[in-house]
Amino acid sequence: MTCPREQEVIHAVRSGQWAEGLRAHFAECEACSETAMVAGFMLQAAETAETAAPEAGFVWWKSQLRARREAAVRAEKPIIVAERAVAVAALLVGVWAAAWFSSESPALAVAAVGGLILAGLTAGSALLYAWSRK
Amino acid sequence: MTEVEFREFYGATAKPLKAYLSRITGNATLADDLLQESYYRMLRVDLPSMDPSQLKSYLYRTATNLARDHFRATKFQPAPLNEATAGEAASSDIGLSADIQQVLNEIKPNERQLVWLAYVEGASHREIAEMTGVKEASVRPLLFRAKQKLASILRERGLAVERSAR
Repeated sequence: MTCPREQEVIHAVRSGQWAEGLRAHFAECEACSETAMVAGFMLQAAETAETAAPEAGFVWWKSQLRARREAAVRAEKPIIVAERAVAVAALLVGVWAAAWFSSESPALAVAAVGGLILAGLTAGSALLYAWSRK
Repeated sequence: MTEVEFREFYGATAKPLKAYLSRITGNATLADDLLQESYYRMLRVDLPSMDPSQLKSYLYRTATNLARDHFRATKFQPAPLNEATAGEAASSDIGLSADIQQVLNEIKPNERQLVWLAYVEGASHREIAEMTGVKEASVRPLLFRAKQKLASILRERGLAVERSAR
């Protein structure tokens, strides 16, 4: 059950101003009476609701700070991807070099693998140190 | 949006939005978090120039979506009126506020959103559709059902509020 004058009733409940014609209609209309009851309850819910909000300056400052932090994370992403790509490429080159050296001379292969492990450890430590400082 | 524009807009919208979020979630602390997140998301996107009412619709839509996500993630259980809520109210209002929240908790969160936007914000069906993401044609029947449900709860509890033309 709806009434075409429902919006007028809601407006009257919100403003507290009832036009004479609407007052007469309201007395007879069950749908409008129900609407007024619910609207009145909801307005009371709004009047007694918690409305304390943080200061505008605080919300602005926090938003700016968060936007900067997110921009920094976005900017770092390609660097991290590049670092990982270089690490993988270095490993592949090392494995290929070790295979090539071993075909030339076993002593060279041992030296190459040793050098590869040393270089890997150094690069790994440098990367870990760099990431821990971010 | 400049800081001055933001402060002006925030001053006009923060308290009603906080009331809306407090009542639909039943939790003032959660409402604070959702409020700040809503403003942050509004500031983050590069919005085309909007008048204040469009911006307000955008803000409410964001807040409504965030609240909905929260309800989905937590399989919404209405929280009891917490101390933070009660602490701000005058002592005589605490019981009334809690009673009101209990009644609101008896209807679904989306029904709470609809009746709030229609009766407290005075939003039209088109505006409600924009703010909630519900189709405009669906707003009328959904609002009607929510109103009937709430009216029946109010009658059962003897809490019908008289704001009539008398």
